[in-house]
Amino acid sequence: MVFARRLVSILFALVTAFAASALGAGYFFADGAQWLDYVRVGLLALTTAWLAWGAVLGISGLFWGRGAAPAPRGAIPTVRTAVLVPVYNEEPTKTLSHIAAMIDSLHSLGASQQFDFAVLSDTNNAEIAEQEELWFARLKQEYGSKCRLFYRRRLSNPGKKAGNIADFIKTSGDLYEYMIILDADSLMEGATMIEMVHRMEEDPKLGLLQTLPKVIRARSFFGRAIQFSASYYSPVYSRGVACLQGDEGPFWGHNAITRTRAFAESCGLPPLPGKPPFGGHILSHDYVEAALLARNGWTVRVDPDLSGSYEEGPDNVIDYAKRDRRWCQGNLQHGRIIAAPGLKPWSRFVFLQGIMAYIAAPLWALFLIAAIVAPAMKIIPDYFPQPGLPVFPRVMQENAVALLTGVLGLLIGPKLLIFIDGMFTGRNRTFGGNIRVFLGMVTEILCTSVLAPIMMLFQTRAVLQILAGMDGGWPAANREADKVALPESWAASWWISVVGLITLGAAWRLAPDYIYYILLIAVPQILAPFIISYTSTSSHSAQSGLFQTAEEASPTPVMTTQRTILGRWRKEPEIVLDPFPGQDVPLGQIVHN
Amino acid sequence: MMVSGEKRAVVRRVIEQSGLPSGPLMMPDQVLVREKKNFGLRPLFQWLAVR
Repeated sequence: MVFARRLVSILFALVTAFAASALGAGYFFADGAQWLDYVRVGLLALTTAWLAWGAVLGISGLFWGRGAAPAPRGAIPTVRTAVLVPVYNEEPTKTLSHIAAMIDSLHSLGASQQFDFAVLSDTNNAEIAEQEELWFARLKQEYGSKCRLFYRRRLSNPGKKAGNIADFIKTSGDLYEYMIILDADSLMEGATMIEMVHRMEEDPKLGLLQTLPKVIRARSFFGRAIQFSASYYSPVYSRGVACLQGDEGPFWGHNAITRTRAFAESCGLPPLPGKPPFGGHILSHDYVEAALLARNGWTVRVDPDLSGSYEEGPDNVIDYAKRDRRWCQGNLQHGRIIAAPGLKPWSRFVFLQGIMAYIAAPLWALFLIAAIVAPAMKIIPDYFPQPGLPVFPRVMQENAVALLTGVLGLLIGPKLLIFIDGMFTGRNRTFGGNIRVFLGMVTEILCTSVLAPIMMLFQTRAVLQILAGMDGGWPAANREADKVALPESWAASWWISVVGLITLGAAWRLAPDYIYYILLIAVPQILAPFIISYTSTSSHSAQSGLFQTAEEASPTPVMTTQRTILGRWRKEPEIVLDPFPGQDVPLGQIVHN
Repeated sequence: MMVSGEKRAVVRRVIEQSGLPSGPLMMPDQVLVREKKNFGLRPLFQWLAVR
């Protein structure tokens, strides 16, 4: 059945690509075929296939896995689970307030003794490390009686996050049946964590269970647009992913539970031969770990019905692009692993999807260049192929219109269908009602349309840098970023304005017939510094209710607890620590810290 | 936040008591890259290189 669904989905993407190519060829070849027209058709086929693949996930999600989620089981698990929180130069107060809230949530259900929290620090900034230790001591003083808390800092960070997790397994993995892997900004309801353990217990072949984390706590216009998009559309798209996953589902690196033994025996990641960006430590380790678990016969699954799983996202375009640069390098690096022996074909296809997600941007950029250059290379048609009346070439305008409509349909169609579905199912009510959701959807589509040409250039630059051998490193995430001031925005995106101006100039000179279409792309690029700065401002949309999400309207208990704890800690940063803190009940011999 | 010497000592003690518990588990490195095919001409090239 999974095979049939995969086949139909792939066929949909291929047929759509073929239809787009046929329409494109009809339009491009109307005044005679040139080599550049063949290039345009090829680029159109690839990019449309990618768009169609995204659309098919959204559409599948509307029809599959719609049943109501089973109520979480309250029974306290009998097995021990480690909750891993890898940190890397994060703001400790915030990260540890997330842990405190999760402990409170588990404690309220009587299950906190079955979950041990381990802060796995790779922090290499001495000042942050000192604060991290101080705040951990406070966390332990306030919450140490409710559950076991561990802290370990590596002085160097080989293998980055994957190496950090591996270090935990090599030190303490044998003590835990399961590990819940989180990020520094992850937040989960205790009931969700308990339910995850139960689902692992139910299926002994299940190696990893991924939840769909919802984005919360966005403050800027950009952040809230992303938050709305992730909260409103992503559950449907992830049902589409789940519909095709079979036993080879995704791992997104955090907010997931894994069977420790399965992970240990399957996911030891050696550095790849050669230097970064393609060699060295594996940057996007999660996709590789999912593929390796599946290779060893374990099931990897995403359960989109698991609620109560949250994360935070970047609040401005610059931080988003920085994260994207890292993900881009990680996904292109998968090109080295795609042929690894024994991988399931679907795992290889997932790697291909990841690569395509980033290659799509330079392909669109090339298509744009070709569209501007092609009219200049036009051959003057032969109006008199035969003596007598002239024969004018037929401009296939209807093909162009059909093509444009089709592309817009692939981009916007699934979103519209999700909205209509929400009207009938009543889902829109949790997002503030039909009108509010409709306005949110339209604004989000406009926002992404304006940002798409800018992101296309950021991603194209990232791909070119990586192909040129430039390593992006491992920058710390900036989760508390304030507004991006215009000078900062200018420094990060002046080159996009220049590219926009060149594009407009070239179109003016070479393809004046298309100038209005090119304006839609070039103007946002020229205005990129202003757009980036403006969209990073704290949004009035929160007050107006635009982009409202269910979690924003009624925060869940763990969200409220976390906010209260963080507020209290920030208000009273100085506390008296117990000079003789009590020893923990030993779980095993403590490894020297 | 300023940290006094006394507080730092307490923090250090808490951190020392909070080290990870011992329970090592093996995590063998996985094979990720196919070994390059050994072409039949390679020994010949090696033989020529020596000369």
